[in-house]
Amino acid sequence: MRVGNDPEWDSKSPMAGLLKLQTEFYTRLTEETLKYLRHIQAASLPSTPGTVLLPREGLQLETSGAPGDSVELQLEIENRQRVHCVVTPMLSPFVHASGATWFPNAVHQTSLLLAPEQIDTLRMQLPLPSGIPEGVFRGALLLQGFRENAILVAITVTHAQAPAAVKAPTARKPRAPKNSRKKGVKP
Amino acid sequence: MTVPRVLLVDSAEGPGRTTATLVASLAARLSLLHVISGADAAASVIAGYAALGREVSQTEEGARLRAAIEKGRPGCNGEALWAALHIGEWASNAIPTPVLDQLRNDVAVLLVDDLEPTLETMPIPCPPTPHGPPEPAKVAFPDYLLGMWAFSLELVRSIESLAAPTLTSSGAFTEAAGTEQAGPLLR
Repeated sequence: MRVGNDPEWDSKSPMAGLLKLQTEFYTRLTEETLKYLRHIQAASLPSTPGTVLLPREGLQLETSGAPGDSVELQLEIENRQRVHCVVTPMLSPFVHASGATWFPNAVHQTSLLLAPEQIDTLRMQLPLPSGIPEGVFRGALLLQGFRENAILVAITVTHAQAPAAVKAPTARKPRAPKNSRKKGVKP
Repeated sequence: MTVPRVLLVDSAEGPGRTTATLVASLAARLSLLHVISGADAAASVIAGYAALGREVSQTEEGARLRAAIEKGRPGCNGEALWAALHIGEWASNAIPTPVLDQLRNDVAVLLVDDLEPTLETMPIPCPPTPHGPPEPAKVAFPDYLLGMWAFSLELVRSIESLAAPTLTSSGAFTEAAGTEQAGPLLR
């Protein structure tokens, strides 16, 4: 059988369509076989006990300060597991509403080793650069390895003359269901 | 001032973190090495480091480090090696090992107070992974390097934390061990 390699032959010959279908079939067959083998391999792997982070719903750390000052974030971590757990905090870059991104040079504990039922406080000092624009910078506190449930962080930069006040981190109230909201009343 | 609190709890998907499950997981990992090839084991570990690297890339420190690696010669050379030796394709088909969870579990098992009675009950069955394999993800060189960095940092910190309670301070000296040391040869 003669197989042409010009585009016109592809569109005219009835064999071209058959070849295309066969190629697609074998490609799909290979993909599905690999996927199946992957599932078989995964089924034989032993499980690895893991840890998840359980923050309160709507939790957000908030603080504010002036450029050149330092702001502090605090978070208590309680280990509810029956064995020790290592916690490694890391911050995401912070983004301003204007699109400006701030990579904070945070000073904090590198890792915490928490015994069962132990509660420890994580403290993070964030020096605000002198040229940082005014407004709210939003980012997240990630506890490495716990995947989901990053903790939202909002840092308000104010150009007030008064020294930077370190506000207590507050927990944002969870949103009320739409049906329960009254007109003109903030949730 | 109330500091918000988060909880660390057992993952609902797998077995909880107890001495028995941690020992069983470690034993299952070791026994699995006898039935898989070295290539499979290495590919899984590389994929595991890359998965950790992808997670760390979302953090401020990780993003800066990744950008620096990609800009410099190490990044170019690494990518060239990665492509020429098909490491990325090879590792992308493997199921990533949860390297950080395994490290944390191994650290925790060194600190438990009921290890001896648990070891007497060996062998302890380890259930297979409760969920299927994660979606295949491309294993890129910078992700792998970043994962290795994050893993190594946590490894060093964990070992330091393990040793901290009984670590003597640097520059300390010890007193002579009593009169037995005194004698004509030590005058």
